[in-house]
Amino acid sequence: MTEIQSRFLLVDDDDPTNVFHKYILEKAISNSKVSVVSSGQFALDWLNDSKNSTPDIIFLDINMPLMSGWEFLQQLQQFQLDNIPGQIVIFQSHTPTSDQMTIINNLNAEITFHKKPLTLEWVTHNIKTSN
Amino acid sequence: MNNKSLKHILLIDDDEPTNFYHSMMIEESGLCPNIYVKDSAVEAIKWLKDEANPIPDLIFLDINMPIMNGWEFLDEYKELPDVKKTDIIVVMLTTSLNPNDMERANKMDEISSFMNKPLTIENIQKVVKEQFN
Repeated sequence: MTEIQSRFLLVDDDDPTNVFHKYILEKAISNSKVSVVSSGQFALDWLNDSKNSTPDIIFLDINMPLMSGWEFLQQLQQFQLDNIPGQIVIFQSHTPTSDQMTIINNLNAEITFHKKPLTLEWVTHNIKTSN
Repeated sequence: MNNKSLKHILLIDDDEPTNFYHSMMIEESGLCPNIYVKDSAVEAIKWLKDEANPIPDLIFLDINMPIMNGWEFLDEYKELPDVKKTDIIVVMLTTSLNPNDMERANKMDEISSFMNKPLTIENIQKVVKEQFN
């Protein structure tokens, strides 16, 4: 049986957060492949690049300069990329506004809201992997 | 320049990713063998008061923390016996170099310098070069 890899894409402008989240994901989920980009635009470029396979889950920061997490999700929907993952974890602690709900509803992805940072316990219990 | 060597660093920050990252940077720099992490200023004061713990040579102190912030930590820190703190170098950390914070830090004898978060290996090397042998 071939082992299926779990692919994650981290989108956050904060280096320490990315390093920590990568560590947590790799520790909690064996055989995971974690890619990291530091802006919404880099995330779009990454998803557009045919070299990269579609991640299972995107972990998305909201407060980023130039392009916020919500702007990224709007772009994702507009460009109808093939590479849209099935699940997106959005780092936002308050309930989404109606505009944000519209963005979510237009995306064909399972949306989870969570507070930063990720913890080992939360990832172990909430991230279902394909293997 | 003084004659001290760097053996113990204490990190005080409420943000776990930041502590993790800073520990990693210090380890990678190879400049200090022992790193202690406290996720609150209250815990840090308790730790410093405990005779069982080593006296750190260097403290990296975050400003914005809940319950007791970096400034409030320094008020408590001043009350520690001199023997504890004469040799400790305190570096304050912040996400933005706020001019008011910088001015306030410059006025305090307890603070040796003021730096942007996150720490980089270059910044750690700079502190060591300036403050340690």
